[in-house]
Amino acid sequence: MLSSIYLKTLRDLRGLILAWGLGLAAAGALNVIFFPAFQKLPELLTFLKSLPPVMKTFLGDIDAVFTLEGFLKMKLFDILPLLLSVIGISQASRALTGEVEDKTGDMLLALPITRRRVVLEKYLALATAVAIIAGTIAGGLIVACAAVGADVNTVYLVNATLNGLPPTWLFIALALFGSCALKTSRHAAMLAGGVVIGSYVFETVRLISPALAGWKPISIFAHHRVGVTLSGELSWMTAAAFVGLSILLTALAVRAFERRDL
Amino acid sequence: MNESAILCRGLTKFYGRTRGIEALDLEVRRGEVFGYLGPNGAGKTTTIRLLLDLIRPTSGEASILGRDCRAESPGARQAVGYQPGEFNLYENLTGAQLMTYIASLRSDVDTATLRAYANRLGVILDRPIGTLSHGNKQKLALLQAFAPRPELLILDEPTNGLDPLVRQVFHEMVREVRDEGRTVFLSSHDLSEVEKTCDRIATVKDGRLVAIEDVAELRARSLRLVRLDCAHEPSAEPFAPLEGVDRIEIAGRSLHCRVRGPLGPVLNAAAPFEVIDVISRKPSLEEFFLSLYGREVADHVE
Ligand SMILES: Nc1ncnc2c1ncn2[C@@H]1O[C@H](COP(=O)(O)OP(=O)(O)O)[C@@H](O)[C@H]1O
Ligand SMILES: [Mg+2]
Repeated sequence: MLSSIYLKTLRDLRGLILAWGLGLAAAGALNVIFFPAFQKLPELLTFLKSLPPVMKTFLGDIDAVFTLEGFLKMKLFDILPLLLSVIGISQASRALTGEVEDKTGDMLLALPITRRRVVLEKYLALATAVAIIAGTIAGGLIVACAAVGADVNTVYLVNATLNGLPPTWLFIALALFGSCALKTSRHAAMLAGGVVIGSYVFETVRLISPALAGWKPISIFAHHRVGVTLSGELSWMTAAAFVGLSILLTALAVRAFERRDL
Repeated sequence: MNESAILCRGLTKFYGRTRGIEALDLEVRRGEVFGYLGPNGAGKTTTIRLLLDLIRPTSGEASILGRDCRAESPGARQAVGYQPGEFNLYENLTGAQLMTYIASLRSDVDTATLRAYANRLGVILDRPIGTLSHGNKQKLALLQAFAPRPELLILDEPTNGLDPLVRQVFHEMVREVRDEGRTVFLSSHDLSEVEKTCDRIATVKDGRLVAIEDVAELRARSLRLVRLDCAHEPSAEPFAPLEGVDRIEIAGRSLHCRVRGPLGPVLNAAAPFEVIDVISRKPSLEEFFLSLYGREVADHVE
């Protein structure tokens, strides 16, 4: 696990990957297991139907909440991109400035290796880490569904989980850029954290205010909201766009890191 | 392969308005042990970090082993082993894991050499680095610098925190590197330290190069501080024209001076004053350098 910067970074993240991966997988599985009990609560439907229209728009299709897919969407998939992004940027913002702050960077970067390689390998490791977390969650859901014999579309489960990855990769690239370009990892975390929270708030407001409906294209979290009836397709086009933007940001991160003093 | 091990031309680094190092011209030849001496804050670490392309010069240029530090990074560092001055190692790794990591990032670490150095230095390889003392971390830092058997070793205050026995091992290791025709550039704020190991010494102060001296030559020049106690009060006149004699001072019936070369002419000139006693000693290199730093060296033999 120490034969490259990529693997060393993943190794350093192994505790985090394990904790979040298993923790969220367990939380997802619990939702699957307790869904039948939830389904039998008629008062809830009455309550949900009595909500003001704004709240209804926000929650989406209320009847759908009584399907397992809809229930998971409300309880897990809607916040998963935000959660993965926060996990990702908490690490990415420390990725390079952190080595400077910890005074481990001098020895690493005095080796005959390029700075570009360091940034790219760290980025790939972080992107892999969140992918493993998302994969573990999907695995947990599938196992739980099989265990309770739930009638659910597996492709939907997988895609709804992995759907959180493209925006997460983008935010990781942003935090990494901050970590390369800014003085401290706190600044990088503030930059990326600000953008993530801002995007999330924007999407939330956009959903409930008709005036902002047209702003969907620039709302990052809008693209990876999963519909309840989604039969399975990932939105490949937007995923590709996010990956493209991530590559661009990572390239900027490399440039910033190559130019800076350590 | 005649090019210099290190060559700096007008190398300058300002941190905002703070001077790190200014207009440094320096050549370190291949195969020598070169000491870079100066008090804290003199600019030693700044110079070293410029050489390794960790920071970028405000102006000027530098090359190592004939390759430009900036333009030919990282190739210029291919054959360089570096021990940082102020550093941390990955605390969650053991020493052995750290060496595995470093060996995977540079292809020139050979296991047998690594073991041999680790044994000599008494490096603790099997415990997490976070649990090691400062001295033991320092040994690991030395190990990773020496183990690749690099053409050029750049060591920033290498003996800091080492106990005397390990210091001795370190001096041996440096001598061996020189005997193999490889080069060592080491910084220190301790003259007695560099005096033991170095062939040449550059001194820096406040970001400027003060002097470059050949250690053997310094010794051979045999500068002496001389005191003559006489029966009659001496005068300076007979001594002033003598070659190699300066800093003549009269204090009562004693005459103090500095003499470069033989003492005979001085004694001849002193004969009329009836010399009762002659005291002469060589100043230490330390005193010599103190004088370079503008501090007054004892001109007198007490
Ligand atoms: N990163 C930095 N930012 C600002 N000033 C610095 C920095 N590094 C060093 N300096 C300043 O540059 C001068 C030289 O420092 P340094 O090269 O570390 O000296 P030395 O290694 O000889 O003790 C000092 O005045 C120091 O305060
Ligand atoms: Mg220093």
